[in-house]
Amino acid sequence: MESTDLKQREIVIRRGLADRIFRRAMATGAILSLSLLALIASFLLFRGFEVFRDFGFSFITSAKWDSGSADGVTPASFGIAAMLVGSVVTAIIAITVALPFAICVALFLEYYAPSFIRKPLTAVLDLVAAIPSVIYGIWGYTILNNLAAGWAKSLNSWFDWIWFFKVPAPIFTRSPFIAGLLLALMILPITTSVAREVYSQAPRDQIDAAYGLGGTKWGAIRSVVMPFGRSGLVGGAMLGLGRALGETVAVYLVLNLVFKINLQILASAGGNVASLIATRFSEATPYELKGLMAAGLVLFLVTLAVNATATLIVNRARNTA
Amino acid sequence: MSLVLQGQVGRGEFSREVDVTVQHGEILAIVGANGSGKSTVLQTIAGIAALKSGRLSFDNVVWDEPITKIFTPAQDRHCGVVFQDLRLFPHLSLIANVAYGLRATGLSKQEAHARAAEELTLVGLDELADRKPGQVSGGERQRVALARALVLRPPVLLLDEPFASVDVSSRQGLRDLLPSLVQGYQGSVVLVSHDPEDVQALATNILAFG
Repeated sequence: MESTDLKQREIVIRRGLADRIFRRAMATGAILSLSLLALIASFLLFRGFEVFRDFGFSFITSAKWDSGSADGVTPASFGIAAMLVGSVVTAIIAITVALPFAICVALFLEYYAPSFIRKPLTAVLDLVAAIPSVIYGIWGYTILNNLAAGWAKSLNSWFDWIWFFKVPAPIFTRSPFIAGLLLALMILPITTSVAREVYSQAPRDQIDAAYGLGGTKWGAIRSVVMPFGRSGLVGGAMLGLGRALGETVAVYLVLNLVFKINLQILASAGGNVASLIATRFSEATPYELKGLMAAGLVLFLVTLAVNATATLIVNRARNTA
Repeated sequence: MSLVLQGQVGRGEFSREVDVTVQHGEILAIVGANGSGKSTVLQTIAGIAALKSGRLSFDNVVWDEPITKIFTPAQDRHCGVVFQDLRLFPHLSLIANVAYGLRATGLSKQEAHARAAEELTLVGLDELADRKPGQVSGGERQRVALARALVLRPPVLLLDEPFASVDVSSRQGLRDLLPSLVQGYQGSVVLVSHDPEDVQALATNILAFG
C-alpha cells in the first residue's frame, strides 16, 4: 500500500480588529490587577522590611506591641501574635455562625421559595453586602454590643466549664464573640451567594432520580444537593473567612483592643491585625509605621492564601459538576 | 386494576396525545422514533413531569389530573424507575444506592442495607457492594440501576432504555437477567426501548409511537 505523505500544516488565525482590541484590553486589565497586587506586596515588604529584620520570627510569635519611648530609653517591641490570633478567632466565630444560616438561606431560595419571595430576598441579600462596614460597626457598637452581651452572659453561665467560655471579669461587651457575630452578618451575603451558586448546579436528573425512587424533597436535598455542593460550600466559607480576616472598621469599633493573646471569646479583650493598623496608624512613630506595614504584609499574605485556597476549592467543585 | 394514562404529555412542540393502559403483570413496551415522547410518558407516570391535560390513574386512584388540580408527588407514587442514563448517586456506594429508595420509605439503615444486599446478590454484584458507581463497569452500573428500582417491589416499574448504556455482550446478559428478576412480579411494567430484541425478549404488549 502506498503511504500518504502527510505534511504538517501551519494554522494561522487571523483575528479581526475588534477582537484584537478586546484581547489587548482584557490582557492589560488582567496584568494591571496582578501588577497592582504585586506592587502592594512589594511596597509593604519594602516599608516593613526593617521591622522583619529587627524582630525576625518573634514579630509573628510575640504579643507585645510597644512603640518605645521617644528618647530611646525604652526600646520599641513589635509582635502581632495577639492580633493574628484575634483575627483567626473572630473569623472562625463569624464563619461558624454564618455558615448554617447561609446554607439554610441558599437552600430555601433555591428549592423552596416561590419566585415572588426569591427575587426580593435575593435583592435584600445583595443590599446587605453593599452596606459600608462603618455602618455595621456603628450598629454593632450601639445595638449589637448590648444585645449580644446578654447572650454572652447566658453562654458563660451555662458553659463556663468550657475554658473558652470563661471570663476573667464579668464584662461581656466588646468581646471577640460580639465582633464575630457582627462579622457573621457581614459575610453572610458572600457565603450565601456562593452556596446558592453551587446548590443551583446540583444535577437536576439526580434530583429527579431521588424523587423517582420515592425520595422526598428534603431527602433529595440531603442525598444529592448537599453532597454535590460540599466542596463548593467550603470554598464559599473560606471566601467569607477571607473577608472576615481582613475586616477593619467594624472590628475596630466593636472590639476592645488589648495586646494579649485571648482565646476566651466572651472576655472583653481582643483585636485583629486590621484594627491594630487602624488604631495605631494616626499616632505612629516612623518606626512603628514600619511595624504596621509589616503587620499589613502578614495579613495580606494570610488573606491571599485563604482566598487562593477558596478559589481552588470552588473551581474544583465547578469542574466536577 | 391497571395503570391508565389518557391525555397530553410534554410541553410545547414536544407535547403529544397518549392513551396507555397497562394491566398488572403486563410488560408494555413503547417503541418509536427519537423525540416521539416515549421517555416523557415514563416521566409523567413517575411524577417527575406533569400531565398537560387528561388523567393518569393507578388502580382507580387519580395520580395526575390538571383539570381537578390533583397531582400526587413522585415520592407518593412509589414507582421504580430505571433511567436511560442510570442516574446512580456517584458519592454513594452501590449498596447505599440500592438502599436509597428503601430508606426513603422509612426503613432503618440496617434493614434497608440487608435488603439491598439481597438484591445485589440477585444481580450478581454482592462482592462489589462497597464500591462507588465510578469504580465499576457500565454493565455493572446497569445492574445496580435495575436492583435499585426492583428492590422497592414497586407497583409500577418504569424502564427507560434499560440496556442503552451497555455494550452488546453485556446487553445479552442483562436481557437474560431481567425476566428472571421480574418473574412473579405482579406490578405493571412500562419499557421504553429502541431495540427490537429487547422488546421481543421482554414485552407482553407493544405500543408504537409515530
